[in-house]
Amino acid sequence: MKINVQQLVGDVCMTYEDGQRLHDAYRPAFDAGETVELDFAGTRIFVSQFFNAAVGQLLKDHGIDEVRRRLQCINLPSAAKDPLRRSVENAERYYHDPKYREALDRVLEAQAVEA
Amino acid sequence: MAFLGGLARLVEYRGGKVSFNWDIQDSAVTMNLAQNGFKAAFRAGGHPWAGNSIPYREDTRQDAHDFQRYLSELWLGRGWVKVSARLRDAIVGHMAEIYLNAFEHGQSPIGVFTCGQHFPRKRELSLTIVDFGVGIPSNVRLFKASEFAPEDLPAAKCMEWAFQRGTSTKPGIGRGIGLDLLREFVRQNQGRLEMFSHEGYVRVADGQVSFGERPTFFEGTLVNVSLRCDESYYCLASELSDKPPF
Repeated sequence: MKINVQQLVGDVCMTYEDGQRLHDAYRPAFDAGETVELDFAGTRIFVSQFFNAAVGQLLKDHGIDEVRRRLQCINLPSAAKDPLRRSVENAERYYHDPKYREALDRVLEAQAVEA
Repeated sequence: MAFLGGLARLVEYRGGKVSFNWDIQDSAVTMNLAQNGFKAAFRAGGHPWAGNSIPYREDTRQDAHDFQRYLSELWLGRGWVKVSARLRDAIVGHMAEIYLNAFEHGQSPIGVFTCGQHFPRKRELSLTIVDFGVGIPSNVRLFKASEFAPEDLPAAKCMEWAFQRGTSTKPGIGRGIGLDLLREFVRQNQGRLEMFSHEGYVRVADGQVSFGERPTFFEGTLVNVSLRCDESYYCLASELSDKPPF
């Protein structure tokens, strides 16, 4: 499966909502065992929140090696690499390091009370 | 201006009243407040104009795409700092991340305040983003609660921890402050990056990163970026690694 990211979300990849839209578009195919190609040609501005939703949440159900093998990001502008890398590193740690997850969840709960 | 505007809104949010005595100000200051839209925001009349101001704005709700246009066109897009389109987009991404983080989980009840200024004689371009949320030290202390008592994590230490790559102060899937590229650009440009939260601060200037504490407490986070408007042309090159992102 191949998805043109620019056609789906535009040239600005910033918000969690846009990332979720991309994730929803490929997730069934990925879960079915397909290799997914995300084509970032024409995109230009990136924030890690976008990648948290678009890619990071895959790590909840799939190992990093499988994600590396079957989720391919092509034509990725250099400005996207740092936020994407950070998002994947954080997600892997969150889903596979119980102490780290517990600490983050503690912050989340406190903020939910304050909100 | 961003801080002053936010402070006024915070007082109003908490039930207080704020009024500015516009008459006693220096005329140059008054003109600047009219130019950047601060006076109009507080219903003191005037129609903002471009000039050397980056307009004062209040975002009570998140509008990431409009904020991105503001940064791209009204801050970095006016030719005061000569950056390539790709580098401009990368810096805008960093600043947009700061903006979006302030809205996560409703931490800043009155939103985010932004303003900037071009100083032709000083050859400097500045931008300030401020929120009135819980602040970085609060998040770090909660995150590290199983290891450290709050009194063992002074604000400066919290800022230092949050500034390290790969650390996260935010919930959800998490993030680090992740300003690597912006820090590198500020260093090359010989500009300044400052972040204040509670009593703590971090300052990137003259190629050095320093952490410290100030006597005043501010519950929220203020980020200030000052760039030097020199004749150099800046573009993305080796500051981004070529290795695969994951």
